[in-house]
Amino acid sequence: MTTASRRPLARIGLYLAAIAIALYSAFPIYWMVSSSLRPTQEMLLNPTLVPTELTLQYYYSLLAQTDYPRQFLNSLIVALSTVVLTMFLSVMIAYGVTRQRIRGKKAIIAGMLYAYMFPPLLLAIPLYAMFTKVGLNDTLFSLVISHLTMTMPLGVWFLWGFFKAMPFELEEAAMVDGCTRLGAFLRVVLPLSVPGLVTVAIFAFLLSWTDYTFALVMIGSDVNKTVPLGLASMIGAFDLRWGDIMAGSTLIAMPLFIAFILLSRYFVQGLTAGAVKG
Amino acid sequence: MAEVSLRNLRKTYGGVTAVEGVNLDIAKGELIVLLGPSGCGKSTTLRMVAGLESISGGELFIGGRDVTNLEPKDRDIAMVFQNYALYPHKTIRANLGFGLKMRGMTTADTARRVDEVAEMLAITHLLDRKPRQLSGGQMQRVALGRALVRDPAVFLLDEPLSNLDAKLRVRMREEIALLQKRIGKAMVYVTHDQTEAMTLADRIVIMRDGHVQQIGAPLEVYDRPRNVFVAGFIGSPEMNLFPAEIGEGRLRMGPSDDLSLPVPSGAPDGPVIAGVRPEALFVAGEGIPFAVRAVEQLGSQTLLIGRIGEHQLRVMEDRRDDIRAGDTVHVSADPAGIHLFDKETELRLALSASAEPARD
Repeated sequence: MTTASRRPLARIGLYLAAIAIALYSAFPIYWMVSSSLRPTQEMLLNPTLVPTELTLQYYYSLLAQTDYPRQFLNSLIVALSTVVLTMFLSVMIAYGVTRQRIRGKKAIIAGMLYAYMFPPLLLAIPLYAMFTKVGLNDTLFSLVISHLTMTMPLGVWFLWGFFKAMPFELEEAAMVDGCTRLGAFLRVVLPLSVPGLVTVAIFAFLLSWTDYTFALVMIGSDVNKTVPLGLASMIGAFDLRWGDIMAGSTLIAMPLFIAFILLSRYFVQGLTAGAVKG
Repeated sequence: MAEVSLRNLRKTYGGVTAVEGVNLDIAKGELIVLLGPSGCGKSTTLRMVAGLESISGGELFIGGRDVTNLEPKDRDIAMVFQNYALYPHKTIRANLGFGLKMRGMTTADTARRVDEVAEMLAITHLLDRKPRQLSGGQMQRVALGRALVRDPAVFLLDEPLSNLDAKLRVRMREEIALLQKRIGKAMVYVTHDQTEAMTLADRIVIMRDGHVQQIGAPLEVYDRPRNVFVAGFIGSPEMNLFPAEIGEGRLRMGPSDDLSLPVPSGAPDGPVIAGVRPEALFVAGEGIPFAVRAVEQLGSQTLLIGRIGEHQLRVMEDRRDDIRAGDTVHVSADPAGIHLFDKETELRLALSASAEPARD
């Protein structure tokens, strides 16, 4: 910071680079949103940077004439269930391995990370076979369980670093002050872990909300399709309605935007806190 | 009756023994210091009293109740941690009041008690801040305050001053001593710093490798260390300890006759480990030749570091500026200041009472 302020040229260069990177990442998003709002003619024949005419026709057709609302609801159910289960389980596991003397806790943590390294497709097929055996195939619940294979290792790994950096004396002080073990956890550890918890929740939501691979393998019937799957099936061989797809994509991205805007403060805190040990 | 009683308190981890059979009765208003090098079991002992470590064997009584298997919250204790362990997300006021709130005290009573204690510790102006806005010394006060508001039967302090700089440490040490006398409660204080132990304690418990080495008042352990370890640990600068031989009423430090000191009467002949505090040695017109290798000026005193024969020794003199490194002077010792320990067991050798330094 101080070196940059002393050398204006370096500072300008830094800003230019930041702007370039921001434009590079933001433009596709802008294009997606603007394409969902302009008439087909303009979009396909003569796209300008700023749309000359705005329309909501794709959103109408998407919501009124397709299964999109149903799919959106499915996605929401799956993603929220995944988030709740991930939070609950990974908080317990991560807390357990940092605070209790557990035999082979290193192996638990390493195993978690190892599982995370498998490509989803490799897990999806055997999981599908298992779900079929127990009669869970083509259900939203099976999708939730398969999403947990991605989100749990992430959550445990992340919170493990978070809890490890938190001095145990805080809980001990709370226990001396009159809390039970659980009380100390709820009153001291959890409030202090909010940035970490928010980060894990956002990541879990993101992974589940945008997942295509698992949904493709697990879900067969139209009623149970999630949004990414439904959107992909809109891309037919003869019919490619870009406007509807862009409108659908914009709607997919919407909850993520809202979550990031509301929680970005915690999110950034969480990322740095987990990365750099106090 | 003792406020706190440790009866044969033991701690084992798997097969490893961390604390072996501690017996201790602490009276109301007494300040006990657990002293020892790191890993000696002093913190483990304190944590067993607190209930933060389970007790593997023995019994613990606080205020006449058997609390051996009770949770920390049910033991009527308060604790100050080395890193203060203030709740970072709460204001100082909430930090101080947390324990009272947990015990179901009303908001009004809590506020009154917090204000009282804050005034006692001169931290009233900090009450609405968060811990991270405080300096080390201020956090230390708040940590003490959090223990004080609770008004427990016993205060437990785990190396409370070791995160402070040297000057502040001395000031807080004095404050803790004054505070403890004022509130008149039992206090157990863990430290590895023998100066802290000597200055604060009513009685010192010296530990090593999980075993209690000696329990006694500061001057008692200073004057009559029970073994070589205590002798070396208590006192600053350290006691000079060296193997020697007693014969013909002299303590021989080497082969030649002139390397010998007077010996306390009643000492048995034979090989011993001898201990002489630097302040019990003095430069004299005649005595053992002492080759000075370094001179440390401490202000009111002068510490000479040098050799007698093959042994390195320290001699503490009153302030003087006439001795230089490289000089050879003669030193002697007061026989009463010579401690003798068995060569094998390292235990203090029993002498006839007349030769012992006076106890008070």
